[in-house]
Amino acid sequence: MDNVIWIIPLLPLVGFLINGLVGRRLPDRLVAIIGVSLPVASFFIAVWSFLELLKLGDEGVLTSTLYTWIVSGDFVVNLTFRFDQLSAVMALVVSGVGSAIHLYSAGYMHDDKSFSRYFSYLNLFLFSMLVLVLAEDLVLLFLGWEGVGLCSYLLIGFWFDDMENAKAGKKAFIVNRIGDLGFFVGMALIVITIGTLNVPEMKNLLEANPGLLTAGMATAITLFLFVGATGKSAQIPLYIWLPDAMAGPTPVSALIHAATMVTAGVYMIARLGFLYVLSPTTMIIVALIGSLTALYAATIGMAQNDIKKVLAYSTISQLGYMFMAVGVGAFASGIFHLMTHAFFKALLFLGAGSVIHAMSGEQDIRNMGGLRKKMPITFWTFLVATLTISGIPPLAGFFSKDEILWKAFSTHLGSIGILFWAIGLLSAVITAFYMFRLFFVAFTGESRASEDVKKHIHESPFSMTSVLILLGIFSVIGGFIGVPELLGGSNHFEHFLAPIFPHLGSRFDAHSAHTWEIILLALSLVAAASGIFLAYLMYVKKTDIPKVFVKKYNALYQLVYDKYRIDELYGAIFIRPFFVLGVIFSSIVDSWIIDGIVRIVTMATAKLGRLFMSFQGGDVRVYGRVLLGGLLLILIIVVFGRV
Amino acid sequence: MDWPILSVIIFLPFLGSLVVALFPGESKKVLKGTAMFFMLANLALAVYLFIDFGGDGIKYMERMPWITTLGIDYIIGVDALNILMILVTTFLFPIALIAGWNRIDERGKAGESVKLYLALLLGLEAALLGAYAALDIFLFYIFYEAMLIPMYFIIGLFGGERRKYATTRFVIYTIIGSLLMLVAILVIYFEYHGATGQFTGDIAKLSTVAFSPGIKVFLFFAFIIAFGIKSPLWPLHSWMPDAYVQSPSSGSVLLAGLMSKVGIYGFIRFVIPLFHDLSLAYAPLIMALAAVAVIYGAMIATVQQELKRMVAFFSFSHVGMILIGIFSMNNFGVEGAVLQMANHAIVVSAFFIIIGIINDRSKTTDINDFGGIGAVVPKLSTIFMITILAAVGLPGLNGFVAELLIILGAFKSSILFGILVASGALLGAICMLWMYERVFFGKVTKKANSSIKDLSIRELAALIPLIIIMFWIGLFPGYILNKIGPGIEKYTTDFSPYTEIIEIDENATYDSNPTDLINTTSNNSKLENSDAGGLR
Repeated sequence: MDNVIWIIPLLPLVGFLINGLVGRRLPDRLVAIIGVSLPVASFFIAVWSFLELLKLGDEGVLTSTLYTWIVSGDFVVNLTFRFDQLSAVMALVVSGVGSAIHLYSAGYMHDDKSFSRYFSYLNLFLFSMLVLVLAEDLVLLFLGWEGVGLCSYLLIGFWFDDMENAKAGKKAFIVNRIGDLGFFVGMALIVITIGTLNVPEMKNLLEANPGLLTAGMATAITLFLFVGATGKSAQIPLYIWLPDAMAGPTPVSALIHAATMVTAGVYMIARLGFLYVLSPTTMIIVALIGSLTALYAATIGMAQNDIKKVLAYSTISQLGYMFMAVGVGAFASGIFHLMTHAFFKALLFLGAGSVIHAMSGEQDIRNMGGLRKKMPITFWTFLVATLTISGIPPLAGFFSKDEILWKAFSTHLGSIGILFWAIGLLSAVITAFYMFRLFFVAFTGESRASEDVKKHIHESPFSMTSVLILLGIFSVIGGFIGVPELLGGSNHFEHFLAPIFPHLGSRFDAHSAHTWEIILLALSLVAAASGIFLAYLMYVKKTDIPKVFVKKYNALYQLVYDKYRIDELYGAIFIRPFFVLGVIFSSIVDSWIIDGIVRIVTMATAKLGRLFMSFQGGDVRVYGRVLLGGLLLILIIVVFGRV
Repeated sequence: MDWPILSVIIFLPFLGSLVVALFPGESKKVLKGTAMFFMLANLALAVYLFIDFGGDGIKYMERMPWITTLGIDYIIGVDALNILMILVTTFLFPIALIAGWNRIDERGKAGESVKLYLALLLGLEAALLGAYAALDIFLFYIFYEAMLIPMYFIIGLFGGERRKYATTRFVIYTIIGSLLMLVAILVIYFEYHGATGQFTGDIAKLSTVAFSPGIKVFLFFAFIIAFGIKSPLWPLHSWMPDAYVQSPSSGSVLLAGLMSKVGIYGFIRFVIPLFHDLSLAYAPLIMALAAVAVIYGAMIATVQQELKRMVAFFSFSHVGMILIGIFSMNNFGVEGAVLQMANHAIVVSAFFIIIGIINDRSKTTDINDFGGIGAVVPKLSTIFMITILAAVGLPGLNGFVAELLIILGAFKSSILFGILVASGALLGAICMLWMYERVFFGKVTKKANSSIKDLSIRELAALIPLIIIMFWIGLFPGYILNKIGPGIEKYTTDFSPYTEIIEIDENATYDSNPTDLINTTSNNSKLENSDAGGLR
């Protein structure tokens, strides 16, 4: 406990305890002050720790151990927080964006009857997320990992008097738990092979004795852990919970289901990069799943009309990019994109929240339009975020996404990188297209809202717009810390994280790399521009194109609109059989077969008893007959028995 | 220790039972107060015992000749295997009493039945503690059977509609198992006599007997069936749902929380030390049955419509998890299982207490009769949620630590069982969250439900200690793990019946050197060799 980093997660926990235990009796204003100020304080301590870390140089790391949590034989789990370059970035993003969203929530939720419950959950989330990123031990990381899942469950189902919300929360929790099963198995396999779950120790042991893990075991471990990541970070095949998670309050969607929690899987893989590089098979699978998810979710995003659903699929898609990055070994690029995405995606969601707030809860973009005059701040900040996610230079998203595409193309894994890159590029076109579709339809043109709603449209209060502006600024300048050398930058971000990650070469030499990088950059720009142009053409200029398209390819459109009906498929092949089997076990196997045998035994005993009872009913003639029979039997045995 | 604290802990409730039964007055308040006093005094003693406990050996061992002609001694002691259960037992009895405080009054008109109920409870506590502390196999058997008597009446007199059917079934089912075990005990007993010319019930001595493999397998399964029924182990569980559902809520607490643990405890205390080699050989079979219970129990629990029945099967599923931990037969698994026994007792008790409260309010425990009551009873729903989270192994609550250790243990012995037991936590979450959603979420659909009262102070007094313990074990399990760790490490090195022999019966002629007894490992391994052939 030689430093203060353990206070970073502690403060939100205190907020949770105060608001959770006595919040109902406190005035809303005080609840908000407690709920917001503690995360902000936690952010400042994170900044302070970050400055301390910079002083320590490359090998610097701050740790603080509270106590020994679990001990069994040689297996020890300490409650240790570790503040190194990677967790510094994560802690800053989480507490920074987290604080901003707490502030925004104070305005957004001001008239909710469960105000204190909301803030206690949100604080608990921040606590869990900070534990997750600061944990030195995988078991402690898992505490945060499960904790964020729990908060996500509680917050998605926050308005639980609507059963749909409650169901969405449960779905999120259970799908996450399926992933966690994988995570758990991965952890157990690490324990029986390496013997510890302390990350730096694992790294040291593996460096000292690479023979601890066979290639097959390394693949198994990393794949099981990756299952956990697909659950938490909403990748194929466990992404299905995230769109439903939009049932929660919008700031929650911004914080948990866009900026922070869902990136936990990416963080976990980056943290365990030294394990993942041991298995090229897993790396390729991770990158492939990531790129396919990026493309798949982007296509669904094109057909959705709910503003939050579009953003949800866009989140899934962007997470796919991050997995593509860590899959090809570009861990720093993945984390870079994680950070810029946290800014612009939080901004998008909060902008959407601002719109929904203004439009009395309306979420369908077809009923919006013409918001520029009435909500200028929301309009401009949303435009900035849309440009960023589409990859327009020099906004943050451009640098991070372009770097991922380049790293995928040049990966040491070989020419399969070209496939990842191509999928990524195609997704970039689609991303630019659907994001600008959203923007054009929701914000420009004539208002299509009902007169009632129209009257109430107003710009949001300062507590909300200030956060939009803040995140807007970060979305613009956030990329400059990672400007690649090609563009005259020096990629501070990657250098800063360099001590954490394994160094994997590129398959190009320096000279040809330079050429390729320029070509790819140009292609990226073309992709973004063409996506935007298409959206402009279809939704501003010739607005009948989409209608014609829908009419012509109705079946295809419906399929995409229904999210390829994957939920229904899962329902048919997993959920229904599970329940049917449960009923069979319960009403047939248990009550008829297992208990049936017991009843047969009892019945037989009773019947036999009754049979014997008749021998001793007090009837002398029966006794006589039995006596005679017995004598005969003895006689027979005596006479013939010896033969 | 100069005074026999352990004997006091066992017989103090028995004394209390007599005092309550012979109490001249009829005042329910005084009766309940007296019973409470005895339970709390016992809890205080047990807490002292727990704090004082340490090291890897047996502490507070008491050994007195009892039925000398038969060689049956009064041997009791505390070690890493039973210390937690002794503590939890003394802890749960007062809780169960508080939880059922008013409910007892409604059952009988006069103080008579209150008196009976309290006497039975205290008697049950004494028998349970005796069974946990006994180190002589006959002494154990006596306490083990004595438990049935109070439980029979608690269910039979104070239970639900089909209480008589349920209790008869429960008792007969259990007795069949224990009679089988008795036969096996006697065989071992006489065999030992044959070999050494001595009668004894001391398991440390009995575990040294050599058998022909065929008989030994029979004896082994007699024990497995006896404890398997009690635990219960799949497919010997069909007494369970009715008994749990029909017994009064505090009865379910004791039955599911504590009595079933005696069965599990029997596996660690008797089966594995007596049949070390066979336990190893048949571990996959028992783990497979337990794994079936984990999955099958959770799936059945999911589709139940009645809360008690659901928790019964959920508990059944978790018992499977504990048994997998035990039969993984390594340090992780056994330590996790021992801790999980305590956890399970606490969590299942909390469940049954909550369901009892719900039943008090609405006179029904059918899930379909509820819906949307979360906003009506915020305290109840919060405590229920915490209990569920503890049950499904959320880190930070008590279930997680033990589950982690059990899963690690299972993985060490077989990856397949590891994955199966790990999936138990997932299935449990599905089952519990679905139930919770149907009871607490949505809009209030039935009018009667809109005015359910939230928890009273008394009910909170029963539940809050349980919740505190859940967090305490979840956040600071180190204290407990450090206490039981060394003993269990020693136990898992050779699976000897005692982790240490403190005193040796001086009259023993065959053995003057205590070290011989400590070295049961070598004896066991010798047996292993001879038996391994017989098995194949």
